Amino acid sequence: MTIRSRFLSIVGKEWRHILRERRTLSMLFVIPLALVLLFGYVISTDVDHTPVAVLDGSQGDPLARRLVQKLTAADRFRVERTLRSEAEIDAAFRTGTIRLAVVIPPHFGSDARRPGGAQVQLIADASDLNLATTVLSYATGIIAELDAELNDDGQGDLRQGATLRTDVRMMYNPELKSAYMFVPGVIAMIVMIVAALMTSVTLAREKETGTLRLLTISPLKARTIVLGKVVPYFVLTAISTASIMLLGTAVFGIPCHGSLWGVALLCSLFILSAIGLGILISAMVRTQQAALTAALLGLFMPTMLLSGFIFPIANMPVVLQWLCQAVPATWFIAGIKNLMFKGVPVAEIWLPIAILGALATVLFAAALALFLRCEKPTR
Amino acid sequence: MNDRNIIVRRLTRRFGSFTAVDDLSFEVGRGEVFGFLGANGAGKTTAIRMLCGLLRPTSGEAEVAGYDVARKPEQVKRRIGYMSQRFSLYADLTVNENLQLFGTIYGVRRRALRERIDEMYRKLAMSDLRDQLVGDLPPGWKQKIALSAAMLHRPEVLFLDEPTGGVDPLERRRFWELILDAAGEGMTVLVTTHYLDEALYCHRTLIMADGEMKALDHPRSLMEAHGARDMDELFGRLTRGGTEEKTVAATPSADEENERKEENV
Repeated sequence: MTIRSRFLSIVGKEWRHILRERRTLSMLFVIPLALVLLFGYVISTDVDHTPVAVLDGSQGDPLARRLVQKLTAADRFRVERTLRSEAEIDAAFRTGTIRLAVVIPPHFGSDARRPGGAQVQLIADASDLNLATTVLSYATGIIAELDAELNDDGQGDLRQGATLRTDVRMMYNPELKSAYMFVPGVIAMIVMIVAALMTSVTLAREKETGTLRLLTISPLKARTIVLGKVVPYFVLTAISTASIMLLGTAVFGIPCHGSLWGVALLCSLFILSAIGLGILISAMVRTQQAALTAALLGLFMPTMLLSGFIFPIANMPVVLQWLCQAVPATWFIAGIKNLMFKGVPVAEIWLPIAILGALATVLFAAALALFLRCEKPTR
Repeated sequence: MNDRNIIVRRLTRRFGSFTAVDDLSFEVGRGEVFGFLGANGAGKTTAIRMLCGLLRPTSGEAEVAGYDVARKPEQVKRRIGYMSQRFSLYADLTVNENLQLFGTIYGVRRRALRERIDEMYRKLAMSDLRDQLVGDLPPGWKQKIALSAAMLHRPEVLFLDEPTGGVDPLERRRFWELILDAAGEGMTVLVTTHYLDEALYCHRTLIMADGEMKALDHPRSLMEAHGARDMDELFGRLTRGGTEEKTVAATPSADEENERKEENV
């Protein structure tokens, strides 16, 4: 056999390995594609159609109307609510739909012609710091443009010293601490690592080494075996979650304005759904390696990229926003922020609680069913 | 209750169009050591899985320790022990932790368990190993401990699924002494093996090929009846109609592969 044919034969053999391992093959193509798409879309910081609440103290002053028109003209913002008093601002943010409040003072038009100029107040929800910063810079830019137009459009009485100024206020995170952003996000990541990844890998290891056979052949019921996995990892994850919370409070000074029981409930449901995902993964794979890969790609990356932790969900294309709704961490982070930073009552975050609760239930039922199918006499 | 601890009648298991176990019938008495001999893919593991209540038969029935395996798998599971070379103990737990775990899983009460574990240490003269990690022990020790773990709850029937792979002949001999001791005390032992010499330890041996029973008798009677000089020759004649086959081709990976196929169907 010549060197060349030997070489070709090992190349040929390698191709057979690759072509036969469909999973690896598909991953080789799917992962880069997914990454490019994700990063390409997610990193885009364009914010469109941001819902805004307007509090017009000037009661329909022409300049105020012009301001609102200009804000909404470029599709950056749309007026979602019109407020009547400052007291309504907080409520508008708490219900969670608006991202920015524009407060126009009384005598806005006449103020603008005075030497000091008129001041527009922009209030953003800084518990989502990235989004708040982006939204504010757009709004400030648009107002500055209007200011320039006013000084330049030939209306003589406005030319001299007529100015619009903006006063920016961040709500819920006055010191603009990034800890507000990253503490819930880090908890979500850790929960995914400890609860989901470790559960799936250790269960897969039991499959791989065959010790799971020893358990299924014993009088233990399937649910007992599953529960025996759930409890230790639940406790482990709960401990690390609590320690991140404590660290956040002690070192970074993040507040907890809401109910501690509510926080505990939300965390527990999130941990349970993560463990459910872990069991589901291990039920579908045979090896630790496969479990690890599945957990990293299927759970870890979405938690990092599609939960609002690093990239604001509002910035994403609609399809990705839907995808975000399917990521448990999205609901967890949203719920935790409302609860801890805004002090929203537990009853008002019923949606994240209900979704995580339902998710945990469904995942456990599915995991148990799969587990039973694999290991018990069903056929 | 009679003195038959395993009763198998026309047991059949199909996976799709593939018949893994085909119309198997036999009975095993109390205190009997019963061998299951066959190449990989002959259907041994599938048969054992059915007898342990892990897999439902397609047709036919089996009674183990007085209970129907398809209808009362939980009752069966409580009364059997299972040990395999491939699926043994937790490597990252100590000897004592493993024994405690499996004793407890099988519902042995704490005091009885402590007594039985101590008795086992004395019998095997291995008290000094109790706090060693199982993963650090040589295979021979691991096996004896796995066997002891499978017997802590004093099962009526003990299933040994290829228990002695990768162990030298001397260790294997010691291992078989333990098995014969247990049988002497009335335990029924069903053992699968692809070591042909091991079949000689069995009271009776069932030879399987392609899911079917090819022969069932004491190994020596079988050899006489078929004019074979040793088990290898006997096996070759019974399963392939030739005398050339010296050993049963056997690698654990091939066996696992087969099992996977079975599970996937």
